[in-house]
Amino acid sequence: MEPVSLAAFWLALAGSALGALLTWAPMLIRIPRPRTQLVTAGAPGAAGIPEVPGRTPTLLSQLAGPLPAFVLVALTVSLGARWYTTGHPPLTNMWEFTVAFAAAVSLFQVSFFRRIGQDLAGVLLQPLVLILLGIAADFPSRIEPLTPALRSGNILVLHVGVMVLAYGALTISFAAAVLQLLQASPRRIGRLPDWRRFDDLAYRSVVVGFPLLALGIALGAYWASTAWGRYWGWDPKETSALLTWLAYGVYFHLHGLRRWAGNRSAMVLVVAYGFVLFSYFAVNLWVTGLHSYAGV
Amino acid sequence: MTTMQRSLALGISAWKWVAPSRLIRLLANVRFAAAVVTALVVLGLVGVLVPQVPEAARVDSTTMGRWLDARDAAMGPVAGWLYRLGIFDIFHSAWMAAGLVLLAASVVACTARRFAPIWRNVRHPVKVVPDAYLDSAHYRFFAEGQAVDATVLEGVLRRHHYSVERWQASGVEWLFADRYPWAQLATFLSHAALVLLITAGLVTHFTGFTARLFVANGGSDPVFPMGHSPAINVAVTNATSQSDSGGSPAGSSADLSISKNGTLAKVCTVTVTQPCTYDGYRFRQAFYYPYGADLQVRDVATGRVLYRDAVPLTGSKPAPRLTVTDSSGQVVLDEALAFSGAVGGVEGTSVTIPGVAQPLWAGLATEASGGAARLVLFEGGNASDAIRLDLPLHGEAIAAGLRFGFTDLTASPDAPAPALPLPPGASAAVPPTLQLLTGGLGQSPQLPQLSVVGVGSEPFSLKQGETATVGGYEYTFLDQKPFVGVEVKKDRGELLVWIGSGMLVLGLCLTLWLPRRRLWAKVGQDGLRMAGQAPRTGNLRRELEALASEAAAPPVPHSH
Repeated sequence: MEPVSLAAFWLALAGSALGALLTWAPMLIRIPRPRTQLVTAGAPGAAGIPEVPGRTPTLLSQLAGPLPAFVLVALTVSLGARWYTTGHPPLTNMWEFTVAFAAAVSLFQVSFFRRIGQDLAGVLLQPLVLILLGIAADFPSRIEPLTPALRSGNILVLHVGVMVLAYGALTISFAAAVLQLLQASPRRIGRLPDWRRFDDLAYRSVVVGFPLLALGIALGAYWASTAWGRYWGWDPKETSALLTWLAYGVYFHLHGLRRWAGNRSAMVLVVAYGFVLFSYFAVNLWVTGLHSYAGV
Repeated sequence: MTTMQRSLALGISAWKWVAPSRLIRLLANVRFAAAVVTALVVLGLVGVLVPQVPEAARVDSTTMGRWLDARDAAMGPVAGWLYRLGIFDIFHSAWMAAGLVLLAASVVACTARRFAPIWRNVRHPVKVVPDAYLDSAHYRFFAEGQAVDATVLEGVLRRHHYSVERWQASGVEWLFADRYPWAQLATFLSHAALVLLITAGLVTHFTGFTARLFVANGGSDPVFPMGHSPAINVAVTNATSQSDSGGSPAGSSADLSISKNGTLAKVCTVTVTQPCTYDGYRFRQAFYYPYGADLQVRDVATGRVLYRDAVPLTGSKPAPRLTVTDSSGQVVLDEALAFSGAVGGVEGTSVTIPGVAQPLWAGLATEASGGAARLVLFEGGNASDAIRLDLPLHGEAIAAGLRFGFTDLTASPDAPAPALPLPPGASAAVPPTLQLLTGGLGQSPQLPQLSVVGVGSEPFSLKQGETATVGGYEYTFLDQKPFVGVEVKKDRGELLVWIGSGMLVLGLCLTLWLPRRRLWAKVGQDGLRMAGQAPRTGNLRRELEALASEAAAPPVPHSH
């Protein structure tokens, strides 16, 4: 089943590359900026946010529509085949982490479709999924025996799975924050919605990711208690996960303040996502700690 | 103004600043809380990026000294400054403690300040709103001319889990509906959890007990020092390790017998992830170490056993593997070499090779530049055909009709054994050392083999069960014995951590995920007006519209 896993992975990579191309191409084509409809508070739009008038999706966008679901299915097959081959959950090294991370982002992308519209979701996330899968392609995918501490199936799935889901949701908040900053600047892309739509999307995705991250850290503490004899030891990985959580906590507290609404909150999100990447990649690759077995 | 008056004024203003009401206002300020959390994040980041003092160094000044020397060598004079600032132990520094205390104080102050208004909002909500609110609320909906029966609307709201109050005023029907209002209090649950988690950390730090035992298979160790009551003893009756089909370690387990005051109290099996608990103490297998040597020393004259102990060989020494084949291709020697001394700065040992008149000196040379190790073979004397070989790893050469091969270089476990008795009259400047040759040479029946250096004038090697007599003492290598690291722990803070974690996650989920709603409706002649409040994640306007249309829709006939 290992060849099936790898083939599905490469299919997902190709699908995400095509998706990124198809979603971004029409965005970058210069077209007249649509007139923004002035609406009063409480008029159509999520949480009172003005909506961009309806646009007919271009042919390219329509073609890109099913691709995120295709990528999600391919990644699920890849991880499933890997699980079948190794006999343990595919969450034990950087290749498996990163593929699972990309799958989580795709999952949230697909689940957010109904809410935010296909082309918007694609613009946000297709390039990010492509980057993640590109990074995964650079990690060795060979199957190695598990260290004894990792041979605890249920807690492995729960802890790492919840962390991957949390990071997937927070990836959406990062993408939304970047696009919010872009749309609030003079270089805004006319075909994309108003910055407030992205602000709202970023907030919603943090609402999903923040409790998941807390749960993931708590599950990690429980696992550390049984496997390492203590619930907390300031290991670089657990510390950086806590820092990530605290950074999003700062976002929650500042977001409600008038002076911090809008671009400043988006900046906080961009910085907070730096902590996600730091704890996801940097700590495993460059910092020695008890999670080092999860390295490349 | 005199100097005294100025001082007085300054003092008064300082007092005003630190006066409790101001202090509480500062602590309850959201920006202040965000600043404290940001400061903690920065401290944590420093702790991740700057090497931190290892646990072992914190409790041992010698290890700490060595660790700091290494930092000095790597960082220069900056290391001293960083040490004094507590940067090398940031998570146990005054900075971190101050940050956590401030955070806890901020959470308490914030909670104290917000509790009363939120409680009022939950228990005594504003049920009557002016008409103007219905026309200006952020979330509002007006179904002009839509005839809605207030009773039907009430039913619809109840179906959507609202608690509803309905009344009439001036010929108009009013409704007040609330859904999950108590969820507003969940924010206190998650904030209280933070304080509880910090408290749990303090409880662990100040009252937690940890003992790390290193017990040989078949041996036992006390958990507490002599004289402690109760006296708890841990014996490892059977330690095993498993390998997978590829030979990689797949896990290990240890059977423990725990006794209290000399009476067997519990028998259990522990693994790395499955501890066992007795009397509030948790016994966990921290690690499995396969390399220990069970040694016995006996006085030959009296027959008395002077020493019997298992020595953990926790160090490591290189062990080159030398293979010698004769001209017919027969292997005459295949051995991993344990070093017994040094010649010219090159560590090595003497090797007797069948067919060679005198022993060879075999040493492992490493270039000063840190290049690859080479096996040097040297035969004494000045004969022109004396063996003088210098082999790279996996290299071969022929000398004296024999083919010499440096086939492998492995690390073998070793350790000093200062308690090992020396024969009468013997003395040693350095304690005897033991080196165990094992593993990697599965085909060799000679292993495991224990090399003993420093007991007599010459080193000697013992296979399992073998004996060597030196100066009237008989040294026996009884067995290779694994060791088990057993961690014994009692931590009252742990329960608080699990309660705090549960509260935190539950509080966050209730606060952020539960669809709290509060709405007001006015059913009048001109139609239905609705307004409401919801967290940002809700799309209440759309919900109001859906509720109104559900209330206006004709009832679905029941089919029988």
